[in-house]
Amino acid sequence: MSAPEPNSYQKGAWLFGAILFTASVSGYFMGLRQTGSQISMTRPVSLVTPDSERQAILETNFVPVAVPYARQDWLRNGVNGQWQSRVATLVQPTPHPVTQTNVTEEQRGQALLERSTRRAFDGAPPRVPHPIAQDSSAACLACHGLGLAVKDKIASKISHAQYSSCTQCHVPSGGTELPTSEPSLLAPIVANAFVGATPPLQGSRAWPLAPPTIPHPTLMRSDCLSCHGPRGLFGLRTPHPDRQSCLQCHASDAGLEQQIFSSAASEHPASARR
Amino acid sequence: MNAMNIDRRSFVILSALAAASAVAGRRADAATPAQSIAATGGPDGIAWDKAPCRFCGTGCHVRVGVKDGKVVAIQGDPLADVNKGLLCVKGYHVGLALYGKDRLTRPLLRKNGRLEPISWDEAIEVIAQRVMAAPEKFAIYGSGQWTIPEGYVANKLMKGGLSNNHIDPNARLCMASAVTGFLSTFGVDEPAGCYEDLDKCDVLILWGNNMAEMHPVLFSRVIDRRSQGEKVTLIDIGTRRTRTTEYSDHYLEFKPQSDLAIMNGIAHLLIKNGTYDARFVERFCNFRQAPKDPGSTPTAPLNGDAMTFEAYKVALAPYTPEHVEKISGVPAAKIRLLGELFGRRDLRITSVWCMGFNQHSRGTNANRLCHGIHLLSGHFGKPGDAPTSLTGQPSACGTAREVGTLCHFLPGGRVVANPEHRRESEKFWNLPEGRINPKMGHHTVLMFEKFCTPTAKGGDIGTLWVQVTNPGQSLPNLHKLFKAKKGLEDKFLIVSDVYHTASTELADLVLPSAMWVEKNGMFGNSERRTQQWFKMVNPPGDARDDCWQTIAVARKLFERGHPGLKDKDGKFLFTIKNDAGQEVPAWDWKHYYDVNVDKALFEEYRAFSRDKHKDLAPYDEYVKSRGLRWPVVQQANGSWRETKFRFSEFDDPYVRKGAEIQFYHSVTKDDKAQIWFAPYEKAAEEPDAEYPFWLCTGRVLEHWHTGTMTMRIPQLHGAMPHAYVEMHAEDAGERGIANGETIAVKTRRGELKLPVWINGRARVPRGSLFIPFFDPRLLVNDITLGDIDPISKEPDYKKCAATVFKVRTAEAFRASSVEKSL
Repeated sequence: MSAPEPNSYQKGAWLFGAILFTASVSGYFMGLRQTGSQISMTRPVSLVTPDSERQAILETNFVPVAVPYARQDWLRNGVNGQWQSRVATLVQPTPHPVTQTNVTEEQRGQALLERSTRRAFDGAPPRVPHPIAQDSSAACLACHGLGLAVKDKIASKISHAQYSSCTQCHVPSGGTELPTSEPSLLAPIVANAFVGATPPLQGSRAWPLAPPTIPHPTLMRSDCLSCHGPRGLFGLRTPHPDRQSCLQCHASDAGLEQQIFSSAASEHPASARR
Repeated sequence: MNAMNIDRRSFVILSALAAASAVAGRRADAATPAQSIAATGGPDGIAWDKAPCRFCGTGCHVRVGVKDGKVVAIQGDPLADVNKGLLCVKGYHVGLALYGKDRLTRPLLRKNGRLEPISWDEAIEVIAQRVMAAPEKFAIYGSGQWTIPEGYVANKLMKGGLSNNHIDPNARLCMASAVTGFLSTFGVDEPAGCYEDLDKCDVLILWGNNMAEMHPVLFSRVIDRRSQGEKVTLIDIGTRRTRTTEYSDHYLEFKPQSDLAIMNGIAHLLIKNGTYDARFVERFCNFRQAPKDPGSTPTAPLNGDAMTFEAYKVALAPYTPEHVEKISGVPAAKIRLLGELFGRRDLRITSVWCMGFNQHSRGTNANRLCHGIHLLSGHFGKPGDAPTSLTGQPSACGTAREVGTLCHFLPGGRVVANPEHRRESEKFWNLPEGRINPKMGHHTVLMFEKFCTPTAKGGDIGTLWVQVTNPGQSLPNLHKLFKAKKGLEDKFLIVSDVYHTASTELADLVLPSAMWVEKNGMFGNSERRTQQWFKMVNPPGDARDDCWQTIAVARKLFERGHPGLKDKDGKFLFTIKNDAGQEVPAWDWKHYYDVNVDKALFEEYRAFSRDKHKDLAPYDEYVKSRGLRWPVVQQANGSWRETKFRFSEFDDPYVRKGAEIQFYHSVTKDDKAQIWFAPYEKAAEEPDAEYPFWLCTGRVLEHWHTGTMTMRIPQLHGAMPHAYVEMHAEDAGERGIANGETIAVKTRRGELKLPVWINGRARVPRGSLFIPFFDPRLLVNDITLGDIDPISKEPDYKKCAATVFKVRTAEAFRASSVEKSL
């Protein structure tokens, strides 16, 4: 008489198991899709496939072509199908130079804001938004030496390659990542009321279609393409990456450069008060 | 149309910024509220001026951007010779040091145990009363962060006004051994070379010096040469692996204290191999050793006894590479490598050091030996061939050493014990003869010991005024030397500072100070470079310049009739005149900036600088420059020329023509330097069965000294939020200690609980611990030793014996869960 009851229990258990299984499997794959990024880009960067063969295959109406197993990694299916395990191939070729990028004012504003979240003031060295190797700068240049974009993560190219002690100026925003057992130690001792200088909006133009002047100092920014190139923030990219000699048309502003400094008293705005 | 167009564009961007700010605000730095971007917009209206950085002794120049009366931006100064446009992360954020939310803005007096606001008039009155009641029991504890004029007025008030030599700066804790090293070797203080040595050397030897974190801009100046294709060999001789080690070609890990043996090992090889520079030694050097009778004269321990070259050789004989290996743990082959390098004439070798040598129970000897191996091998006096000490504070050289704010010094390299020096100083200050007290005052450690000892038991310091420093955190063995003040009713601690610190916790009177570009100032950096800046913003609330505070107290003492505040003609000691020759009441804050007090004081002080050939130029020359290295000598055409390489004929105008090298302040009066012999001796406290670890303390890149400024800067605090103890993985493993776990570190002085960092930024060898001292919540100086070098009186912060144990897990857990629930 008690036989049906175990049956319904069994059914229930099976049903529960099935739901659990479905949920965990789908949850697992959804989790894979959530490649949460610390760098929220204005617009995602799509990977440019370095392998021209793949392009050829795709263009022949997706008819699969038999290839050796050793080279099948890029044919894998699934969400990470396009991911490659060879580090060397992560370094992408520069996009075709005549690729036009048209940036709206809103996108530029957003890029400037994005930029300012990592700096105490405009001109301060940006903080590192990810954990770092604490004892060496060698790892920095693996990604930042030439610049690297993987999915929506961008490692911008170093704009002052002559300096080699990266951690001298760039410190991580996430602390030491030491799994400390005293969370109270992580809290700031006192808040700070500093309000930093804001980023420049635009350079000046002599007439509406004249090339704008550079609205910021160029010290330590010897590679314009670090920020304005194809691996810069979207809103800051140049609309004409095919033109390589930036300073040919865009003049710097002596007032911002602070390179010329006379001994005149006017150089000391505060000296009037002495 | 054009203007309309730009306005529209700006409007669109600003709208976008404002709209996006709500989204991105959560990630924005606290210091950069997104709204502020929309509120101002563009760099227009920022006024820029130059200033030396507020932090370390490198002396980088920054450009300070000021808008609407606030510092809003900092740039590396491209025109500055020191840093050539580059800064470190502290330097870039130095402007934020002004804006911690808890700036002190009113004088505070302790009443019934609580600090309560009072007026400046009352505060000055309180100090004057204390000094008048017992002038001989008054002491000033100053700083290598004092500006030159601040140190000068304090020094003049004490030594010239109160005939009281109880004034000493915190530089005693960091540079005193370098001073005694230079004095006993060259007869005059401070490095002969300059930072150009870093540009020219083929080999850079870092003696216990983590330059990548402590002097990052100078370190970059060396390693960035490699980016230009130059070859420079870095040799890191240290007691732990650091970021500096990562850039080095050789890493020699030695047992603490055995640096003495390593340097003797180098000298031994130079002699044994015959590779010492016989010509250089013959012409320019004598030999020196510890005096037979150290008590014979006050200067006997400093100047020592003469020694023959033969006796020097005999003394070095035991220091074979194998013997040195036994003492130091450095393989004999590496000792030979050093010996061979120093023996080569075709290489330029620069040695740099900082606290590793100086905070050493044999700090003077460590400095002497390093100079010695450079002199013996002739690696001296040519660009790139130099023994160079680096300083930790922005004006340890300028204010502590040159102004002579130490308890035995007078300005310009003079000493109170020398009657001729006293007479000269009295003449410069227009004082009656005999005003200056010939007896040396209390050095730092003694000063605090006396202050923390009850008066009845011989504690002869009753009132102590601390300016621009934080002894409550930076003194060693704090329980004995600072915290013991608590409960001593007749002791009175005055602290002038910009924030509440470990020192203000026990202060009876707290005075709010102006800092950095909130006042005019002058600093002197590690390479003899004197720097100047102007006030750029107003201090907050009622905060005022330290220089004014001292002058105001001096004036109050003058008004109350203290005879010392009058000069020979009965005039006030600090009579400041304007360009028209009229007296300005600088003691009245309302009139303090009617005249440039800094300029007036500097011009007075400048007269002292000639005696030791440390000639300073007129104030206005420093206004024009990014600092000038003394001696600054006037040329025939009226211009002023700085000196990069002292004692070398090709650059130093004071060297006799044809002399090549001339040590014109030689201890032995024969224009020769002294090569010292000093034996390896054990540390003041070494590990034993009960306390099996060496404990070393030090600094980190992000924080400057006691962290009062940098811990209030979100970017710096965010990168390095708290102190930790470094431990070797195997030592931790044996004790079941995990990375990040809170453990207790115990010495004979006390105990400190803090998290362990294994294989973190630096790696200590087995049997060693390292704790940085920047964190006011985790005071490592509660447990440090406090034993001093017998000559320089500088404490050894780098070596004491410690043990570690796990904190009961339950206790640690409770502590952390309480925090979480808060």
